[in-house]
Amino acid sequence: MKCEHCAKLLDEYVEGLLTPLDRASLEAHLGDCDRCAATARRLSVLVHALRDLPDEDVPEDLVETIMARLPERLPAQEGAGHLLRWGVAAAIALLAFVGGLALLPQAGGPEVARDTLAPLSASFQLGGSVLAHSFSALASVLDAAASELMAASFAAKLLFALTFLGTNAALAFAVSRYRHAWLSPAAALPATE
Amino acid sequence: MSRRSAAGEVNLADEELVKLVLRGQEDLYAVLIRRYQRKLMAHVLRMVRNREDALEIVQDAFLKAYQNLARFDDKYRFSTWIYSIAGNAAIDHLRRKRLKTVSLDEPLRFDDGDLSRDPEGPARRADEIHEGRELLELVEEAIAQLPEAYRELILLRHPGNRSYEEIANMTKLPLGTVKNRIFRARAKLREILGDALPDGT
Repeated sequence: MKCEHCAKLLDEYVEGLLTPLDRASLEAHLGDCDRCAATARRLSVLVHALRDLPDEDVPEDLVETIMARLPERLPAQEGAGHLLRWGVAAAIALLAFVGGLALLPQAGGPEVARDTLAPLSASFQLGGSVLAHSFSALASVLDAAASELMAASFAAKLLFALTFLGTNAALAFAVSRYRHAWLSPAAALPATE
Repeated sequence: MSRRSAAGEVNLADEELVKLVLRGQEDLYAVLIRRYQRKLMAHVLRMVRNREDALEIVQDAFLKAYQNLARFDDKYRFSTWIYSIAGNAAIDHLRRKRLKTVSLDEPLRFDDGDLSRDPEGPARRADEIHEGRELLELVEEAIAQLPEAYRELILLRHPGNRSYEEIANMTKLPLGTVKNRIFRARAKLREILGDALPDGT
């Protein structure tokens, strides 16, 4: 190894960042070249000194001074968090609703029989009531989840977006499949012929 | 349960604290301030070389970080983030100051290796070096003589203890440029410090 090449590697050598191969060939050169060896030692002292530079004293009340200047609420979080909270609540409520809808009429949409409609209708009433309660409960329960999601990784946000879209797609599918029974039970009857 | 009074909060990782602050435990932000105020103050003070200005920049950095906390990306470290905010503010400050006045006590400047040496500079005082503390003082003086662009980078590496990749991320500079400038800054420091740096022979 030539001194010029050695000089280029010295910094990373001193910081322990060289590959074993480069380190071995550099150390071989340092064993032969007093000048480069002296440079390496001086650089090492410098890097250690830089690492050891002390922290700086601050006024004792600096923390209190800064805390007193902070706004009451986190402004960026509040607006977006509010929307997100209701978005998540809506997505999960819809998911639960669609899931329940898919399970109820075992015979399927077009084949739905007259005698399945009564329990179905009752289920919808019950489902609507449960939905109303779960919706507001979810909104508060998901408060923490929403703020966590705000600070979440891109992957987590993507997952959330996909879940949201998936939920809406499932709802659209359910509506198209069960709309006769759902919107007008009587109108759905001819389809059962 | 009161997290605020619990000693355990001090042991929480930065990112955990950020989450708790975002969930409404705003008081815990004080733990983060306490954790970094002295390091950040040292970093900024070495950059701007004026205690009052440095203190203001540090305060503003913590305030700005708090205001944007919901946008904090936890794939980065909180410390990296707060250093970035303070570093950018320090550079802006230096830029504004440079526009206002060309001060006589500005550090010696050099362009690409052409360093004008102070004849009474640190290198002359090699025989005064007996303890590491004195060496550190000389290193501080030498850092003050580096150009700003080099100063921030070398301080982020040590004592900031950031990896080269992190520094490239923070400063939006190519990795090669970051390494090159830090290596050159060290070469300049060796030159300024002269015999103050023992070579062990």
